Amino acid sequence: MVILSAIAALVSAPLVNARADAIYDGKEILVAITLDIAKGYHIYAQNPGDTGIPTTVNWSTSTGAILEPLLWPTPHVVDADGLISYCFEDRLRLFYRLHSASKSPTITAKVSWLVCKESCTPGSTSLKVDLSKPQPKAEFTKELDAIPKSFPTGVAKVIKSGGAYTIQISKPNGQYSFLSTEPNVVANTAPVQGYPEGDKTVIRLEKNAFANSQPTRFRGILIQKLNNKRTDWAIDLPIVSDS
Amino acid sequence: MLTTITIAAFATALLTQQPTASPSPKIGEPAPTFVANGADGKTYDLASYKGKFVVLEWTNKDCPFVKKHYGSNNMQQTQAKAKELGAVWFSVCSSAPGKQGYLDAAGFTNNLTKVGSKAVTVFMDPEGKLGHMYAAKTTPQIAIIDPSGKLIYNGAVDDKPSPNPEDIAGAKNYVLAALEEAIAGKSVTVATSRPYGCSVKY
Repeated sequence: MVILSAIAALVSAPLVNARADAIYDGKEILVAITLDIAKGYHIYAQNPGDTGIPTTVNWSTSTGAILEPLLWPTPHVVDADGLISYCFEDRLRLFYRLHSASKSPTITAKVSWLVCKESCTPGSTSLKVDLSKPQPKAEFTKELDAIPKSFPTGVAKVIKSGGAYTIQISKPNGQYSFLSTEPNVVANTAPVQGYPEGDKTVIRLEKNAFANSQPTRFRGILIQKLNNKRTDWAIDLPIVSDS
Repeated sequence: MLTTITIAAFATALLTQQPTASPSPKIGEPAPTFVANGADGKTYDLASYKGKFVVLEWTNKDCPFVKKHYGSNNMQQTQAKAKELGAVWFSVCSSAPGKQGYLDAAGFTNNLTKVGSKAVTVFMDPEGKLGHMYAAKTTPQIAIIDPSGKLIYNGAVDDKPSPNPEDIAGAKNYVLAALEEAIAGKSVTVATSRPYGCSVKY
């Protein structure tokens, strides 16, 4: 009987468990959406890559409450027989900064995902955020620290030339590679590594073959490796045309 | 087979990458030629369809995104409308044997009947050759070839990348839009779009 119950629990175990937590550190309130993903499965980043669809969080709030998203963590690259996807495994934790005039706003998140292994299953849930029992920030430090930092201004620029984009980094310090967080802009690959050109590091990125718009900004993550230390930097830059 | 590339590992493993020549067929250029095996036992040579619009639809009956479009009858209605417009519609399954969506010829034919598909047949592409020629990444994905043999569309069925059938009502059907514009002698406004759905199970 016990074995049957255990088997039944395993069979019915959801592939993604979602929850919402309020976090208060004495200064500000953050809301964390946590998606725990079954072992061996993955869900997709904002830029899902060649396949899948993005994980989404849509908020319903009482009047005046705003949830400001913090940046997403850097996804993993999943290569399924040459098709490249940008995914999260085990756990995805997303953070939002709450701005509210009211002390007790009503907040609900509609979270949707596509969870895949060899096959895919869409899922969604609604999560009501309980602000009355905030969690200590320390419990979320690992994921908060993993959020990419904003790359210093004036150091990088993005140039579009024909069917390619070039990121130029002035005064490079270490090695850099790049992952796009914007769907359908550049070809989906493992992070593309930069190389030296004069006193700069340049990263050349092929345009996505399915691109059907002319983006004006370029968003993604620059991964810097320096003395065996890795730093993930977020870039959000205007695109300059070379013509 | 799924492979996860951890970013930490890749940093040391990757060589400096330069843009590589895209294997994707180019819009406005001659579509890749092929001779395909249909589930109906016939062989189909793209060259013999000069003078007609040809639609290729990548499919996998167990993919939730394929189910969205067939379960809602959207795909069948799109196929019927395409046929009215004079297009010839073929489904393509590039699933490898043993992978999701793979069937034998009888299985494909039975499934066409079961779902009420208006496709002529299913091209069986278990080695993925046709899929790779057309850069098929997802199911569903649609490629359209014009009567002169040029590729005029490659991408998603519509502009609502979701598995929810309720989203079809407000979606722009890229396939019919491309066919209607091309038949009217206009250039196709949206000739590519990010295909969405399950990975093709090569």
